[in-house]
Amino acid sequence: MADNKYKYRIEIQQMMFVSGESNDPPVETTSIIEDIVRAQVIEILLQATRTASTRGTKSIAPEDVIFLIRHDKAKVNRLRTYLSWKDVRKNAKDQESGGTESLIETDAAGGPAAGAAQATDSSKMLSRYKKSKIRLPWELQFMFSEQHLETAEESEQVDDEEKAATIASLKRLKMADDRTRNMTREEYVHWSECRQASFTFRKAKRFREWSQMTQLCDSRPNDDVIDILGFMTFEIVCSLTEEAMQIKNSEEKLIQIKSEKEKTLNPGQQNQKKRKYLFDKPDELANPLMPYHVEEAWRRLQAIDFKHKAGRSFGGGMLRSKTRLI
Amino acid sequence: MDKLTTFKFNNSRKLFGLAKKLHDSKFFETFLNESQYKILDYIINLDDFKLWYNFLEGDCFVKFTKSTGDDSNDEKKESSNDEDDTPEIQFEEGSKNIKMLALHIRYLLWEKAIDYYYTAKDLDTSIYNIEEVTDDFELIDTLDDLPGGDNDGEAAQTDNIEKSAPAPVIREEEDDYDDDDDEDEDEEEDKKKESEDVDMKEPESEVSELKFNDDNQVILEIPISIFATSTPNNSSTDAIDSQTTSNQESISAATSQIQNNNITTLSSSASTTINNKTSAIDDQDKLIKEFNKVYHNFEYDRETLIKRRKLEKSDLQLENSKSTNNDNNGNLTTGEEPMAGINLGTGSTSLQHLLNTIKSKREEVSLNDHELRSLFMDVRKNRGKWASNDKVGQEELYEACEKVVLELRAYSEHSTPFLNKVSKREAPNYGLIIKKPMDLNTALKKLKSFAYNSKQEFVDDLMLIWSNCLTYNADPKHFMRTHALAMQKKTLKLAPTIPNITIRNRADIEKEEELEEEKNGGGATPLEASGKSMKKGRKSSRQDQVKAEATEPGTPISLGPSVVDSPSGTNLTSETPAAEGSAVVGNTTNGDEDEEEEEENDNLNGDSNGINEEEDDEFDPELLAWRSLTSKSRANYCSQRAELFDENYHLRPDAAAIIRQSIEMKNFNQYLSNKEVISKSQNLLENDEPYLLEYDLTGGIPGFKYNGINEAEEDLKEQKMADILLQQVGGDASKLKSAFVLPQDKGLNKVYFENIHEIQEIRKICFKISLIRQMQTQQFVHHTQMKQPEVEAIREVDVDNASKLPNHDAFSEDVQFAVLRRNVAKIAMQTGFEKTEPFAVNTLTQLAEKYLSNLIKSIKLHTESNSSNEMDETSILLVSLLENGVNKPDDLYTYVQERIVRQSEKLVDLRAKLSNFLKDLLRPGLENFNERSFEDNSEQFMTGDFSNDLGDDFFGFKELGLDREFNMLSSSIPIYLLHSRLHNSYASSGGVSKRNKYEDLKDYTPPYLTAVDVDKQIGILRPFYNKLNEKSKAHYIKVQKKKGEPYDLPEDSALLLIEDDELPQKQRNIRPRLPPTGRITAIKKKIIANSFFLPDSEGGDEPVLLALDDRLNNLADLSTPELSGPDIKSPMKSAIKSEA
Repeated sequence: MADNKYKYRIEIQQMMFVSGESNDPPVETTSIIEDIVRAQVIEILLQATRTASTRGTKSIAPEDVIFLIRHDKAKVNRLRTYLSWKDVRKNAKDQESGGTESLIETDAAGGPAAGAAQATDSSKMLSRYKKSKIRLPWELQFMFSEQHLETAEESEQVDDEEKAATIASLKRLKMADDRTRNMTREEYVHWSECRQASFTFRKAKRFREWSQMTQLCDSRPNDDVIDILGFMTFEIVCSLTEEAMQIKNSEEKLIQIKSEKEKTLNPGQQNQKKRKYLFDKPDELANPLMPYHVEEAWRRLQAIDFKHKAGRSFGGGMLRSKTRLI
Repeated sequence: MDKLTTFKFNNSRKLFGLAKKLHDSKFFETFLNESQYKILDYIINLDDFKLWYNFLEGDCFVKFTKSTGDDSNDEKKESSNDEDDTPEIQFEEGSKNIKMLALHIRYLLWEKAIDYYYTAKDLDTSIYNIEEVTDDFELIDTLDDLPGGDNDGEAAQTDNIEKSAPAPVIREEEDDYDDDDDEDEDEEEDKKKESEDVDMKEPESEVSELKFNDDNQVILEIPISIFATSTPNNSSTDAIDSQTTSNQESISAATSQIQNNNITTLSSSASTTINNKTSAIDDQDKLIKEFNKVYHNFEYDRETLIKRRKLEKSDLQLENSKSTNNDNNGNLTTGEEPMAGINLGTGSTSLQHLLNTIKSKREEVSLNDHELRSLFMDVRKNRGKWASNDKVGQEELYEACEKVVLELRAYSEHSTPFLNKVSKREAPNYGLIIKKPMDLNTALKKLKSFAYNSKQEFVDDLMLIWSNCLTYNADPKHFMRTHALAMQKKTLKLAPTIPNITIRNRADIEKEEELEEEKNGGGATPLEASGKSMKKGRKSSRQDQVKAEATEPGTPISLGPSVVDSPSGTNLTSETPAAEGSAVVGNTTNGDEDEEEEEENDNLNGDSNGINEEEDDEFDPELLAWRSLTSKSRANYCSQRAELFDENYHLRPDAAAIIRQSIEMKNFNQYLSNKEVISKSQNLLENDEPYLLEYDLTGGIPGFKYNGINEAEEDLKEQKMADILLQQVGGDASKLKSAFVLPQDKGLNKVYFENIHEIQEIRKICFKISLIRQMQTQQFVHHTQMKQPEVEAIREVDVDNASKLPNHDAFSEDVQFAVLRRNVAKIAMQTGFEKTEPFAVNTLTQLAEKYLSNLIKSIKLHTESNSSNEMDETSILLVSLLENGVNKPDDLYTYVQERIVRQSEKLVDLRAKLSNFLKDLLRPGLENFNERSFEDNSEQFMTGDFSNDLGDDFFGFKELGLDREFNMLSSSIPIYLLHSRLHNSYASSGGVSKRNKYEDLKDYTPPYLTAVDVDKQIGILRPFYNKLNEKSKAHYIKVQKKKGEPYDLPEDSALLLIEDDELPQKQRNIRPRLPPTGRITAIKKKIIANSFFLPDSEGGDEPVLLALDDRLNNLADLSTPELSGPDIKSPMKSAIKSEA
């Protein structure tokens, strides 16, 4: 049963590694993270279905999912770039060789629908390698009934928002850079492998089953939606891990302070402990993230901030809030 | 004023004298309850000054002695119906109660002086002769002559000082009673106290020895027998006393009334009918007169109110049950029936006049409302309700009985529990213990169904109620017993007012009478024969009725007084005190705890004054009388006042105000000048409630000089202010800006306005684009669709003009809300809404209001907090912002930057793009359509160069390969696809392009042709012009004919050829209309007679040729009317000829 339930242990480990956890986390940690991620995915699906139904359709469109995280602009922009690059990659593959890779891809996407979509895509894009811009329906220009034509130079223009997004992503890149600076070649290979870890990439079917998508959604969501979910699950794991790491660090700091205090209080013990023997444990015991760290991280990420309860202040009553999407 | 020295210096001897006098005049009887009176009587009868002195100073200890023996006890046992061996006396042994009594007596004595004191002061100013205090005057006048007191003022003073020396403490208390005692008296007192210490012994030695207890208190031994009133000696003397005095009194009262009464006829027969009962009524009147000397507080009001409501409820029930004979008796109980309620009888118009007279001369009538009302109640005609021809005496009996029941019911202090049947819910086992349940309402019902035949039956029923209660509540401390005993007492008091009549059938009586007359003939004295006395009683009752009809004053409760059966007054009087005595004994359950219990039952919260209340209760019949008399009006006042409060005792803002009535003011004035509790109000018979000064909240308030806000005046004022303001700005109200208008040329407001403007402009462009799109897709575009929706430029709207006036509060809630709503709407529009629904904006505004008030509240909370962690202003602001969802102030900045400033940039950008797009769409079409642009771009247009500018492959022409096929470098729609529709639309909608088109041609007017010119034309046109010439001539002749002028044709050079346009409608040439395409499309296929068809089998070219032929024919057909116009109009011509 347990085997059945937790399917993404390796991926989660890899993701955690990318986001800074250098130790092998115990199974408990990965499974609790997996639970959280699944719950989040289910939540996303439910909420997206709701927005879709208010739109009047049954199937979830990518916009529905992006709509849920619209307030996190950095994330939306990251997602945008991710999607547009995915587009480019897809087109590039199609262009270069209609060989095995594309076959695999269509297989993975699993369906003639995807193939058809690709066909139209390719016909539209024709010979252009340009990355397309993802437009979201709540952007300013869609406020009006008519849209202008997009000229070539216009799409070249880098938006300010995009700039901000690139800044954020540059930051991330720098962090990754720092992390990888001292790596050996093998390590770096491992790291880059880990970076590719995904809940959905080439395992869309497994993901569907795992998140019980068929039960939750009326119609089968778009491939793009699956991709977005893959991106988002990655983000969820990363933010959880980062938060948990912070918690762990502060905890360790506390313990350190405490032990130092104890040392100053009774210096006798200090001497005794100082002696080392051959078969002693290694000094620095690597502490992997424990489930309670993750739980605490979850709690912190779910806390209702003032923005969401300001309207209720001086009003009394219980505060209820939706599960927040990390 | 000298006469008041007695009171000033507490001259006990004189006071004793006064007390004796008062006692003689039965003064105390009315103001003390029974046992108190008995004790006082005992003390005064002892005539022991020393004892009196000690009693008055409160140094007294009461001890009851049972020396008189068992017989009196036994008798009392019988009379009081009590199981206890020891008699229940209201008085406890000891000094406490006797002290209270002493205080009360003091109060009564000093009260006598009050009137004198005040009237002596303002006797000059007072216009009214105050009637009721005259006897007091006499009393005090005679004080000087009292024995034992020195006539000399100083001696009295010294005397007083001697007396007061032993009890200085009490003296100080007494200063309160002596209204305004001079302070220097105290000093004098001190001086002289020592000097005349020796005299102190003197008065003490006069008196016989007294027993003192340990506390130096005189032991007052009172034989218990004095309470046993049934002892013949006491009661008889009492009775005689009371009779005589009361007679005197009532006569004097009557005479005084006569003196002052305008309607002297009313009182003419008063003195003759006075009997013992009048004294009781006088007692009540006396009590009433004393009311105004005490200021009553409101402590019993709640209780009264509750009880009153219960009574009224039960009244309602009763009234519902008896639908048939509900008439005047409602007047007594509910008081709802107005003037008309006092049914003066059909025949008594004279009474009506009397009433009017009284009303008009109300001021001069000395009687107060209460008296007058009772008078009228007695006077008015028989209600006839109880009257019956067959039953003799029924009317008298029942009327009396009803009065008693109603009185008992109205005795709401105690009557409340007995109004209705004891329900099973209240007392489940009641039925087991009480075999014959009875209650007041049942008694009343029985009365109404004529179930009683004699007084005894009725009284038995009443007594059954109380005895039931006493048997059921056997516990002597049960609170119900107090009520029952009180009611019992009351009943016994009232019972004698019922004539002792046994109802008998008339037939029997007549028989008897015959017998009687026979006996009478035998010479029997009327007093001896009981039957005779019956008859006499009846007769006298008739007389009384008659007299009562002739208005008999002063007997409100007297009901055919002399009907009381025995002619010998002594018998009756001996009966009455006995009854009263037993009632007293019955009443003496010590009820402190019981009362409290009851209060708890009633959910009253007056625990603290429960005891006091009870004591007052016992000691003060005056208070009791006051309470019972005024209970109804108090309840009314209180219920009126209670309306103002909600259940949490908060003032209800929406409650109707208690309105000051001018009539109340009159009452108030009368009250002030008359010193009467019960006022003379104009509407004397409308309500039987006494006027209560203390309770009337609004009565004493004089009318306001300021008569409120007058709307017309306010309008005028505002008008003036508005005029001034308008003058300042030069007559234009819109120039007058309030502080709520934000400047449009700076700050965020400017950005907002720009954004909204941009959005509107973009919308306009979008409309144009969508219109073009529509024209591309749809065949027909209705001209309403072409119309650009009007978009009003947004303006900053000020608050309404009226609120700009300085006398309007700019911070009133409505104005503020409107201003906020305006700004909220602005924000909504800036975010992209075209319009704002009022509901939505109101909701949004309320949210904004809430949020802002939350922000302010949290700032306030932080600034006012007592926390030791003090914050400066900046951090308070920061924390408040944080708590309200603004993490850091930078967020506000970024919000403005991103959502507003950036948006404006984006909008400008978007607008530029869209307008470019629109231009692209229109360039081949609309833009080049006027002549000038055609000239400019003509070559471009011809070659199609312009399409390069569009750039993108918008319609996918390139994709389709059209561009290569047609050698077209454009991706836009060619003009020929658009132009026809565009032409249509612009021809119908815009005159602008039309005017542009023919601008140059406007000035040129072609010259008219004359007949001479015909030959100058080219040959092919000559026949046409010739015909035209002919036509013109005919037209000219016709016109001339019409004018009546000679119709010689002018010369050819002068004859103008008429233009087609000038021709009458029928003669005009009919031209085929060319469609805008320029092609002649509407060709009707005619089967031409002179054509023939080749068979189809011949080659493909033939039909084409034929078709061409057809077409030519058709053309010829079309042109014929033009060419052969005259032929067509031949009938017309003939008509002209015939005329000629």
